[in-house]
Amino acid sequence: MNPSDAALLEARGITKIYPGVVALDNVDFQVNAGEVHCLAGENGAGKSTLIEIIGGSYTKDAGTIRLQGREVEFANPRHAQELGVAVLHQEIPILPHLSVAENIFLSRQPVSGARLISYAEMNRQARRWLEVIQADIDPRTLLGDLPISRQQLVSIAKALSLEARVIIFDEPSAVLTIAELKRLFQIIASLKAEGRGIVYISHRLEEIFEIGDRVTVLRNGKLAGTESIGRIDRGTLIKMLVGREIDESQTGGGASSVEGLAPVLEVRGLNRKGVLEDISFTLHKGEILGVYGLVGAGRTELARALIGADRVDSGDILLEGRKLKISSPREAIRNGLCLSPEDRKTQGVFLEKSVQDNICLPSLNSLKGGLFLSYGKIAKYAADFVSKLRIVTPHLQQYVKFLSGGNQQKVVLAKWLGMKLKVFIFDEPTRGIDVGAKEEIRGLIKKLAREGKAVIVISSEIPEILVISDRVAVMHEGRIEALLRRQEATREKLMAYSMGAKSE
Amino acid sequence: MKPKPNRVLADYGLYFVLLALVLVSAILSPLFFSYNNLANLLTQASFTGLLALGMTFVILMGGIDLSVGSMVGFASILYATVLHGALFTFMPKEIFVYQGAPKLTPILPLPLDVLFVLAVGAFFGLISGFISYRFRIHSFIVTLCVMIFTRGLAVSYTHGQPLFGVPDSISYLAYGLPAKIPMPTIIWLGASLLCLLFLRYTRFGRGIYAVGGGEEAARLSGIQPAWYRIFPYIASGFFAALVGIMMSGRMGCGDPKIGQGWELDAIAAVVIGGTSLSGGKGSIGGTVVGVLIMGLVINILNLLEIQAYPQAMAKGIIIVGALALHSVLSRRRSR
Amino acid sequence: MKKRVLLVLSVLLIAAALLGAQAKKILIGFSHVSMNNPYYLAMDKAARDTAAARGADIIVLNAEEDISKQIADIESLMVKGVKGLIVNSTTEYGTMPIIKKAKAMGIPVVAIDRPLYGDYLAYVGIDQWKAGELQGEFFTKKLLPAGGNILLIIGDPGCPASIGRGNGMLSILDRPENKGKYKILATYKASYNQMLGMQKMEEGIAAYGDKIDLVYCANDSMALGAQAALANAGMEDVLVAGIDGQKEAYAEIMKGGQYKSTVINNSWEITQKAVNLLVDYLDKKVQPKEKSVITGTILVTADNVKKYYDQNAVF
Repeated sequence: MNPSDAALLEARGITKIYPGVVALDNVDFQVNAGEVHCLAGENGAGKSTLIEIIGGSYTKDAGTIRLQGREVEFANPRHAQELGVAVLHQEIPILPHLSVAENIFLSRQPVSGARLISYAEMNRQARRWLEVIQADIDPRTLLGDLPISRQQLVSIAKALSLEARVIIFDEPSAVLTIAELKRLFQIIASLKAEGRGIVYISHRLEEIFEIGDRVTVLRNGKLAGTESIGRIDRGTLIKMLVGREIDESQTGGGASSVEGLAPVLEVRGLNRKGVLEDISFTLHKGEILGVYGLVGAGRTELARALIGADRVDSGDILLEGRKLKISSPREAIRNGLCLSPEDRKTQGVFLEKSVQDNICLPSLNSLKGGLFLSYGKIAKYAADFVSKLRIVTPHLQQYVKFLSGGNQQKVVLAKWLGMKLKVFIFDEPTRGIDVGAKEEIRGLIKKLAREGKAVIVISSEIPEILVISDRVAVMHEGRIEALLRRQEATREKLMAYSMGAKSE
Repeated sequence: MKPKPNRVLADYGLYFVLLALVLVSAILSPLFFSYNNLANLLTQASFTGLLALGMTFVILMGGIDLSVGSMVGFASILYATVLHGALFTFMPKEIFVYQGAPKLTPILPLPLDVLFVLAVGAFFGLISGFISYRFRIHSFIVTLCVMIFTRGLAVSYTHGQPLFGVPDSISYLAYGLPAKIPMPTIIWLGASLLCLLFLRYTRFGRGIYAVGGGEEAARLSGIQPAWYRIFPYIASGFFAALVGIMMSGRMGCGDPKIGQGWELDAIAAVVIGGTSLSGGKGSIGGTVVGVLIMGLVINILNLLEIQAYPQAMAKGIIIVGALALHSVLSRRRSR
Repeated sequence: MKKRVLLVLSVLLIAAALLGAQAKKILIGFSHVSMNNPYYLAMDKAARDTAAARGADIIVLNAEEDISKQIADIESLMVKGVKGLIVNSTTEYGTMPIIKKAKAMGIPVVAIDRPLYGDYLAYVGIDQWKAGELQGEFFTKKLLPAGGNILLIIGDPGCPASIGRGNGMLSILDRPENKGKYKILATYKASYNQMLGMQKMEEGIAAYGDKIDLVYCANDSMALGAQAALANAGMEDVLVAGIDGQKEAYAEIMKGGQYKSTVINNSWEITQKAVNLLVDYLDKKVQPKEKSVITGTILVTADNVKKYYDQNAVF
């Protein structure tokens, strides 16, 4: 039997060219019925472009797409949906003020005889699809009232209601807790059993190995390879992604123990009703303290409390022995603490401003010539950091929104580096960044520690925590359940403490 | 399942306010419940109410239409003009003098004249919507320009004077009392009902919410936003023209200067009624309540003989208060 | 016994009569067009004072030159139960339907200052057209007998006062003996407001400069503003004329400077007459002697100004 007959969806020779850049260059990709085909690649490798083309949002410049052997041309996303291809985007497109049922059936609401929408029928059908994936959601709730993980379930229900044969998941795990991810995998397994073709995009290698049957890697717009999961290992996959070997076994910061290091930051009994409970720890010069925990454990809240973005009910923060009264981020910065926030795009950088503006903003006071700002000094300052951190940007005036995630994160780092700060707090610094850039960022963080700064790194990726930390604090429901040295920290322990196991 | 205790307050808070206003009015003035007063209140509210219907569509789409006030004046003189004869041959003279009721030579039979003016109003709306959509200019600017242009056109064409000669049959639209209910109110409530059914039970209507609330999401579901973005302005122009014709009936003549500031009253009513200025959220029912609330406030101030400028102060406070209330209630709801 | 009953009955009767008399305070309404200049303010005060003197209650509402608000005001007054209405109408025919409605409800209407159309009880005001004619004659016979250029500043093109005062003056210029001698440079609109009058005069000066011989304004407020603009521009030989008989205008005429003439339109007198007329009708059923009560339309110039100037007048 001709192998291409078995493919549910077959894309051949897909090419897409934008002015100045080739986004996709002659890429082949197929999905078989009953398989989970993972799609991986660095940011900018072309994954999004490929699925937008397959999903009908973009047009291709060359190549063919076949659905079950028949060649098709998608005019628009709706057309693709009608033909059975559904894309579940990473940023779920939602209409928050409309109900769940309406979101599912938008523009195809069931009508009664008089061409009027029948809400009863629509809710009934919606309920049916939600039950199929065992989602306990009332179809009449407004979509905006649901948490993101449930919104995702709704989008899955929508795909099912479209009777999609090919369902494409774009980075679904970014917003899910471990339990929710488990459930997602169960749903995907059942969809697979029904003979649908699943495409799963993710940066997380563990997920690819857990759920995938095959994986396709794109690199710089070209096909790097398609392999069966059973036949490759982690190292090979990384090699396909990055084009070179990466040694993931490097261990943490400048010192493997904190003995003999001077304490810089001492936190005693930080409390905030319902959010933080009796947080106490000491941070040393040159140390990287990793903070691990599940979503909702209070890590981000801790970071924000340390830099004065949120208030606390009680507790003390001492910097080099001196008690601090930090009531705003400005004061925190003046005292030498800074934060690289979890939500990089809206809180870490100004997307609509240039690289130069972003890097120089906190330091403007020191970049003056007399009374006014000196643009010469500003440009030099920014250029220094761009080269030091190897920020990839066509020029200093480029708007940060056009940079890749990894480079945006470097801009955030650059912002703080020139300010002679003592304590750096990073909240999920490598989220949404491709493997190669992740390594770079971690390297920069370690360098900070070697230079004698005190660093806190909050992360939800256990391997990252293990690679980078000298000590690990595990949080659970607002408390620090355990404070371990690197040697003591194992994956099992971290998971246990994060779920509430108590340490003696 | 999501619990909904605070929802009641958020959803029905508006009705509480309405009820409270009625009670306060009744207490403060014995004249409140008299037939004449209620009839007046409803009549005057009906004009704002019709404008607010069109405005609801526009604001649901995240836009705004500042031109409706000017369109009311323009439509009223356009209507008087077509009653007098062909559009371009009838030219009001400078310093016009009334010489008794004129013989009308309308260019079309009477009902069609009305339809003609309505069509012109809708057409102006189409232009506004199209320019805003096609050239990606915010509707604030586009409708502001239309507002200035239309007012200028009306005033310069008539040299600032009213045009007399509107027949009694049209006066009925403004003063008629079928079954003792003021005609403008019947027209307003009837139109509101139709708009409500349209927005709630037709796909196009739901599409308006979708495009206004999240255009990208709507697009991904297969909705082409163009006509959805333009339609609200057509509706707004249509209703403004309707009000213009009704006002001609109320005055017995067309007046190019009426309607100044009415767009703000319409916007206020829509916003008090809970429609969000960022689009995608709101309802006709809310707008109707908003219109009634504003009407009640003005009515009670009138009954208490408060003069015009203090009334304006009261209006300002109420609108800001309503917005703040909505903000607090919706934040509480999402907790 | 009979005497006591009689006593009680008569006391009761008197009490009832007194009570009845108390309760019978007449309520009238005044729907005003605007309050933006002294002329109108004088009307407001006159109305209140006269009503009080006659023992009647009055409600005054101001429509701010918005005809649709005036209609709403009149409706409001009717709700309040006014027995009679005084109306100074924004436009002549815009109030026709509502006046009709008032008449149907048995509420008599007295029109003041601006004429309106409809079935009204009486009109009290000056003859706007005649006022214009008087000025026209004065210009052609006395001020500019040889001809000249005239700048016109009216209040509001839709307002019958402006129409009458403007056209009345123009009709004199149209006479065969005057044809060709006079030229109207431009017509500006200044809403009867002094400051706007000054602004418009400045525009006129910028546009026509030396060509202007005479400025004729539809009311004294605007004329006073125009005069100020002329003084600023050092053009003190341009003649100024207004209408209304505002006391500041009289003062200017008495000075003998460029301000030359005005026509009496005593808003106080008019309003007083109107209120009295209405109360007479309502109270004593007295029909007004004439439908149009034209108060004296008299031209005031340097010759007779001293007779009319009263420093203590309200207007």
